[in-house]
Parts: sequence; C-alpha cells; structure tokens
Amino acid sequence: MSDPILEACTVSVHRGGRRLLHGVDLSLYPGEKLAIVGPNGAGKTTLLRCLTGAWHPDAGAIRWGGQPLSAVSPRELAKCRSVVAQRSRLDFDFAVHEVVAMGLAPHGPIAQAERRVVEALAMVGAQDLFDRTWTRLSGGEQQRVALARSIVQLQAGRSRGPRALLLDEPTNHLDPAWQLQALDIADGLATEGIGVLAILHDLSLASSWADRVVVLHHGVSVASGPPAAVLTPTLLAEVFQVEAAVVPHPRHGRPWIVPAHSLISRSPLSTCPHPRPSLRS
Amino acid sequence: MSAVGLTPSSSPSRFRDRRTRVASGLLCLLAVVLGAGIGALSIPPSAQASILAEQLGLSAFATAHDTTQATVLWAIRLPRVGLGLLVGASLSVAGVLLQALFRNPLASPQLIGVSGGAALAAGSVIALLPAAFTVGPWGAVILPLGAFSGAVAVSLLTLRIGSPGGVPDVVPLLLAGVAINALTGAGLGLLVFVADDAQLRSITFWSLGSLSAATWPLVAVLAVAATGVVAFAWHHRKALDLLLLGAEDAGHLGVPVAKLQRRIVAVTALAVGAAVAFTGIIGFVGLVVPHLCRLWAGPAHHRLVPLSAMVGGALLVVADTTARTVVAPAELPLGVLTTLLGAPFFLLLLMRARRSA
Repeated sequence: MSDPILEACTVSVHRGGRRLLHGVDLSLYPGEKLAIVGPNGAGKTTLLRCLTGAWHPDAGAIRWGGQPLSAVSPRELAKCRSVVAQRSRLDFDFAVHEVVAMGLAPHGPIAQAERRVVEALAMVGAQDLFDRTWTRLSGGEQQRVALARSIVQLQAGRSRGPRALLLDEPTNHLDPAWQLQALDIADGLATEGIGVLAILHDLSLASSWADRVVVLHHGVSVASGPPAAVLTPTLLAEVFQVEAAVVPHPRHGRPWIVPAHSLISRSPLSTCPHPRPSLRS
Repeated sequence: MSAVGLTPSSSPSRFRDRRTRVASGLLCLLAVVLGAGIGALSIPPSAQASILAEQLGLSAFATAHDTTQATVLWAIRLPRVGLGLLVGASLSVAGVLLQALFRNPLASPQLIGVSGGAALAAGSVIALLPAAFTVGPWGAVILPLGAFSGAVAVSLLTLRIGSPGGVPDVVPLLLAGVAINALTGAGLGLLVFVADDAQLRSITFWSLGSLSAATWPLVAVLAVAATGVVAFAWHHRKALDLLLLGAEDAGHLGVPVAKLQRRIVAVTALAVGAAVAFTGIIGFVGLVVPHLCRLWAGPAHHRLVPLSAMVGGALLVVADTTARTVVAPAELPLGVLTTLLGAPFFLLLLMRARRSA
C-alpha cells in the first residue's frame, strides 16, 4: 500500500482537566474511504480538529504526507485538503456562487472558474441555487453548497500530490436520498485518488460506504478495520450501549445495523452526567 | 479580475461592478464640488475649474475668477474637502475590516476602544498638562500625538486581553472592547469633573469632532494613513470574505487567521487613531457606511472596500459642508451631525431589514 496522506500518531488531547483523546493512531490512504464512528462525546470532532490542524495535540503528532502538519503552510494545505464542518456559519448575504467560489481562493487566479463553480453545484444538485442568497437557504441546501465548495477546492488542485477531504457529519440536515447522494459524491472523489475521511452518526450508512471504520470510545480508538469485522453486536453493545442485530444488507451485503433496544440504564444516579459519589454515602 | 474568481467576459456582475465604480466616483466628485463651492463665499464649479487650471500651470484654461476665490479655495476649502475624503475613507474601511474581523455588521472602530482610547488620551493631555503644552504650536503636535498613542495603546490592550493563549478570539475581543470602552468613558468623565472651564471647553470641542483644523500638511499625513488602510483591505479582500465564514473555515481555506486578525486590529488602530487625533471623534461613519455599501453592492470585499472608501469620503464631505453652513457663521460639531443623521438612518435600516426578514 502507498504512503498515508494523513496520519495521527498516538495523539492525546486534554482540555479543562478532561481527557478528550488518548493515544489515538489513525492513517488515511489515497483513495480510501474512512469512517469515524463513536457515541456522543467519544472525541470524534476533537480528533478531526487535530487532523485539520485547528487544535494542537498535547502529545503525539499529526503528519501530512509524512511531514509534521504544522510545517505545512495553511495555503499549501488548503490547495490539497478540504474540510466540511458540521455547519457553515455565514451571516452575510453572499450569492451561492460566491460561496462556492471561495473554495478557489487558495489557488489564486484560476482558469475557467465559473465553469468549475457551475459543475460543482450540478454535482450536488444545486445548479438552480447559483444566484440565490446563502442566508436564505435551508440547512440541507447550505450543506450541499458547502460540499460543492469543497469539490471546487479539491478539483482545482488536481495536478498536485496527495489530497484529502475531511467531513464532519456530512449527512446532517440531509434527507435520505441526499445522504446517499453526498456519500456517492465522496465515492467519486475517492476514485480520483482523494482520501476521504468522514465522521458519521448513522452506523448502517458508515458500514455501507466506508472501506474502513474506526471506532472511538471515551477518547480511545477501540477498533479499526473493515465494517464487517468491526461493527459486531458485541461492540455495538459495549461502545454504543445498544442491543442490535447485524444482518447483511439485502442489496450490497455489507453489515446493516438494526437496533433493538437501548442498554443505557435508566436509574437516576447512573444517567446523571457527573455522578457525585458523596451523595451515595 | 473579479475577486470571487468568476470569469468576466459578459457576466452581469462584471457590468454591475463597473456601474458601481462609476456611480461612486461621480458621487465623490459631486461631494468635492459641493464642498469646495458652498460657504460664505460661493465658488461656482466654473471658477473652481479655472482656479485649479491656474494652480496646475495651465493658465490658458483659466477663465473667470477673482483672487479671493482662489485663496479661499486653495488654502481653506480644498484642504478641508481633502481631509473629509481621507478621514471618511479611513473610518469606513476600518469599519469594513472590523466587521469582517468580528463577523458582525454591528462592529465599528468605536467598539474596540480606538476612539475611546484617543478621547481619554486627548482629554488627559488637555486637563493634566500645563496650558503651555496644549495651546499654540506645541498643542498642535502634542494633542494629536497623545490621541494617536491613546488609540493605538487601547486597541493593543483590547487585542491582548481578547486573545487568550495568544490567539484572537472574537467573543473575548468584543467583551474586552466593550469593557475598555466603558472604562475610557468613565476616565473621560473624571477628567471633565476635574477640568477648569477652558479645559472643559477644549475637551468638549475635541470629542465632538471637526474638520476645521485642515491644512495641506495635515492632508498629507492622513493621506498616508488612509492609503495604508485602504490598500491593506484591498490586498486582503479575498481573505476578508473567507474570514466571514469563521476562523476555522477560513483557516481550512488557507487564511493565516490569527496573523490576519492581529494585523486588522493594528491597521485599524493606526488609521483610526490618525484620523481621530486630528479631527476628534466622528461617530457612526464607520458603522453606517459599510452597511449602506453592503446594501448597494453585496458583502463581497472586492466591491465593498473601494465602494466604502468612496462613499465614506463623499458622505463626510457632504456632512461637513452641511455642518459649516446650516448655522453659519457658527459651525455645528461634525461628530454630532454624523451621529444625528447616522443613528436614525441606521435604525431605519434595522426596521426595514426586520420587515423583509
């Protein structure tokens, strides 16, 4: 296998006296589709922030193309790596095509800019939104436009080395058809050799899309591998606290998770987010 | 080249860009002609053209004007108009920069304490130094210098407090600005309390704002400040667009966010500090003009920056012409007039925006 584009080496993060990540290892290879899953508060977004360089880990290292991430200039990085946040917050009345064209900013003046914007909008089925005002779009439309921005950002830098797309819950705000469509687009980018990493909440979606799944639990990477090997009923019970049947999907045969019931205990003390032992005595 | 990167050719946005530029240029020219022509001595446009032609050595084109008109235009009106254009442009573009920094259309140079710091420092110079230092030739140097240092010092303090861990963060920055502004206000109040009558008059006059100090050397100083802030904003026009997405997204698109944020605070402090040092506090220009221009041409900075500079300059010249003519031979304080006109206009915009939302 070729060298990884992006690596996390025993990354640990502590914030406000809490351990958010502990010794996490992760590699993203060219053309790979990697899903990060985990229950709420497992450290998924923290890991993504480290991988994007927004946060510096307290221990361990992040590498981009074999060199320390902090040694790569933001502009160079932005030419070959794109990030789609959970929600793009922009309170000014930009036209949609202006928002998408922001993806071209790191590349400087570029040929056929308008065609690139139109094509990317067409890929996410948003060509009709070209002249619309960003602030008046629905959450799902904004999510699709943000994805289009990432597409122009990555495709404008086609000729250069490793490229990666990092997605934080890209299927948020999207209806089922567009959830599948968004991941299909990510598929398409992966076939161009772009490594795609996505935080996903929907385990069945993660299983049917990803080549490899990494499971985070309490800031620790507890499992990593092909979906069929990782997403077992035992792991779902231990990590996600859900009793679930895992059956082959009738169409593509990947594991399909059918939750039966929650294993979270309903006793008041154990559901309290910060149990105080002194109260019990 | 369009800053959003779209190919121009026949694109309607390119056409709109040009129309906007021409319109704002004409607006500026109109403001200059009005500002230079109206006053106790009327100088019609034809006389202005003739005087200018003569000054530029094109005597062949000089036609009908008398020497009084020439003296008034060259020594009084034009420096004042020039100062108005430059201060208006500086304040407006500083407003554009700070609104991008805070990602909030309500930010203005007053918010990060620039004006407050300048006012406090100028007030201290007037009230605490012996009169020999604050009037006459010494005053003309010490007072602006004090105001300028006050503006820069206070905004750097705001930046320092608003950057936990060395990285500027918008919310602490905003809160620090609000608190420090309140503090400078209280400090100025204390100075007003201890000042004698003459000092009080001086402090009040200074904090109400005026372009009456205009001279050519002063215009030259402010030309440097205004050119600096406009060039900075123009150079970073794309990055300013991206900054509106938030620090993280802007970083993902290659903007060195912390560096740019620090530079924005420094550049606006220098430009606004320079303007406030010589003209006193001229309120609301930095808030209203970017707003108005955004309604006119949208939020993209490749249009907003030049437009705000032009419109800000033109508006301040018109406001100043009004201030010195409506109650002639007295002169309304300019800062009072801009706020009197700016604030209701701003409220009107807010109400209209709420209705259309």
